Amino acid sequence: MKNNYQRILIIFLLLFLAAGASTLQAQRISFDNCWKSQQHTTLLDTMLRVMTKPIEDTYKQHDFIQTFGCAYEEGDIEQNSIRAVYRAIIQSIRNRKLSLRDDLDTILRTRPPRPDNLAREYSIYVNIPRESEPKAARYEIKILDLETVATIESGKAVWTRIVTRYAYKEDFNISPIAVSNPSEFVTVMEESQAILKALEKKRFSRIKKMLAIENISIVYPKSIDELQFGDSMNLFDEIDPEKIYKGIYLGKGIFTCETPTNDIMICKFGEERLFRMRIDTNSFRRTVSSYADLNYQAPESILECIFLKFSHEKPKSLPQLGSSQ
Amino acid sequence: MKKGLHWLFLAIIFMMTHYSGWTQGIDRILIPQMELYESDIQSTYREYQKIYYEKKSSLAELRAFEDVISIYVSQILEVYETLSLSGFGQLETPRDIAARALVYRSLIFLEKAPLNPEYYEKACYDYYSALNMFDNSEKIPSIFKRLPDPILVGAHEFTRLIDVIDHKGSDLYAFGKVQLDLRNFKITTNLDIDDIEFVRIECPPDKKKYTYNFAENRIKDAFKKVLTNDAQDKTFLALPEGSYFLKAKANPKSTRHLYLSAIYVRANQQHEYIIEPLVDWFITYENPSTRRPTFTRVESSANPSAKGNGKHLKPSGKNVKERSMEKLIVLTQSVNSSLEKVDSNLIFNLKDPWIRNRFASTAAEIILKQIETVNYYNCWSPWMLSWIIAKEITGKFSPETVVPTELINLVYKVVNEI
Repeated sequence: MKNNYQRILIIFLLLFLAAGASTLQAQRISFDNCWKSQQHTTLLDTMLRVMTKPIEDTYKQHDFIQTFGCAYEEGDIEQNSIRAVYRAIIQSIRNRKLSLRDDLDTILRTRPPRPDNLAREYSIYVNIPRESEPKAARYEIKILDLETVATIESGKAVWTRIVTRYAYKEDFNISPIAVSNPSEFVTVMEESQAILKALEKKRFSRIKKMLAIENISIVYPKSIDELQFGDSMNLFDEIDPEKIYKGIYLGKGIFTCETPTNDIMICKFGEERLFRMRIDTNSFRRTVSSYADLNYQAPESILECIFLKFSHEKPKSLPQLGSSQ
Repeated sequence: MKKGLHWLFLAIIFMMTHYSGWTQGIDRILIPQMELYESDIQSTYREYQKIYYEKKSSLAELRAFEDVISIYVSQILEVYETLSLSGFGQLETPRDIAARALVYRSLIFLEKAPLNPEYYEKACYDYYSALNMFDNSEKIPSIFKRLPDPILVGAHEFTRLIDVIDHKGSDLYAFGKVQLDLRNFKITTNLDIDDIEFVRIECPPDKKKYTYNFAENRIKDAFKKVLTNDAQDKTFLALPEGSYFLKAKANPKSTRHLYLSAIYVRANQQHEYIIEPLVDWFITYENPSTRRPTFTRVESSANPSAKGNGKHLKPSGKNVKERSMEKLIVLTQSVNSSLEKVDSNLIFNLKDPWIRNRFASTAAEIILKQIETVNYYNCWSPWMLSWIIAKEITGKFSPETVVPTELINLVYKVVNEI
């Protein structure tokens, strides 16, 4: 009888401990791999797959070139479609070494390309570089593929395949030879994915090397509004301002930095103060231009995942002034 | 018809020619009216103290006085708004009166706060609104200026509101101001504003008595404006020191909300937060405004990018004493050059070159001491920091005198320069 009571007591104790442990577990957010999902792949994987599709012979024979674009930043299919097509057209313009004459963004917004509508062909004016002055030329754009795809980055990501050519043969004849680069944006996505993956493992030195943050700056952003993915900054100890730490901006107010305890943290602006550090707003630097040039923004879902992954490691309130951390 | 048009044309010409005269005349009527209201507020405040401390009047009576003072304050604010909208050039005097009116009401709320702690919070909102008026101005805020008439608080007579706040308003310093800037939300953003709850998670024990009851509605109002107008909106909160977050009532266990929307508040400090959409929720983050003092950077390594990980940016071969001396020289030079820019006769008697030099070196020493403490990065604003430093300089240089307003101005110039 006594043994039965003891058993019941032990079972209750175990159940109680298990419940306590599960509550504690719920307090912690665990994200094993921010880039892994059972349902979706990454947009990069999708792009690498679709970019193997060759240009149709009919188009090739008529001097068309093929480029690709994708977008995931907006929570709206139409907006993502506009961005994706814009990126593909700009890639084609870059490949042919031309410059835009029209306001492409307005043209696309006036008649937005959507996966389900018939806006598939556009005509714009471009400048062909000449020794004296640039020559205006009509440029034809045909959207061959425009698809919405649910990816890890966004449930409403869009990719597109377009072909472009000069409307008149004589413009083709005087224009520079086009290079074959299907999408520089995809290359940038690939690089940033490697950076964000290294960040998940807190490999700060590797990220510093990948972003070449010790190189000479090419741009000095003046405020956080001008910051782009990969820009670096200095943080300093608020008690001893001569002690400095490095930080790298990721997007949406989130950045990664070294801390006085030699740890690597992913913080949002303001959280550096939890570690008694301050951001020196005069120290913003850009050493790699590609992210800003192509208007690359790290996917929000990944930023959120990486930020939340390590959030439980941070103190919950600001340290008291005058006392140590 | 033609005659009508002719009269209309004449009326337009008349209005155009007399508009500037009208705007100049409007201030001659409205500013004395504001001054009259201010004097009424001051006497109501005196009366309020009398009935509160001496007559021990009922809450209903106190409430009546608060209502009276609120009417005067809203009248003053309306006149100030009219003057601002009329494009009247010199807004300094009306702005000073409007800010002082808000501070008076804040002081009345502080008197009553021991009976109802929510009044501390109310007092803070008025105090912050008064300070807000000087946000984009280089002019010294009116709380540091001399009052038109001295004010009697208890047995003490004060000539400036900052002295009254220092004497009676320590509870205001338990709060911090959080400026919220809501950005990039769209009309299509999927957020249920009524489901949002504002919660405190951490708070020092001595700050627990202070409330934060008005914050949630102010945040919700800002969100509603942003989501209906598809634009930006700003609001500010008065929050007691601590950590806060916004969560969805429908999802009370989400730790995700806690981390993404955390707001950290330090007492007597101004924080600028940005709120932006992130995935299907939002993120709150601070807009950093700090920078290392320039003189620290001057002597640091030529290639700052090569350092990091807590390494010191120090040139080799110089010890702490030498570096400190260098900084002191830079600051003394800065004080001396700022003395040329202000009316130094209004500070202390600095005509004697020896006294002037001593003053410059004393001021530089105190400024350097303050800059090397955490106070420098945590002070409310450069004006408040200047006030603290000016008080210390006065205490050391001329302890018997009141802190001169021009000295606050001088320190502000030096602090801004470094």
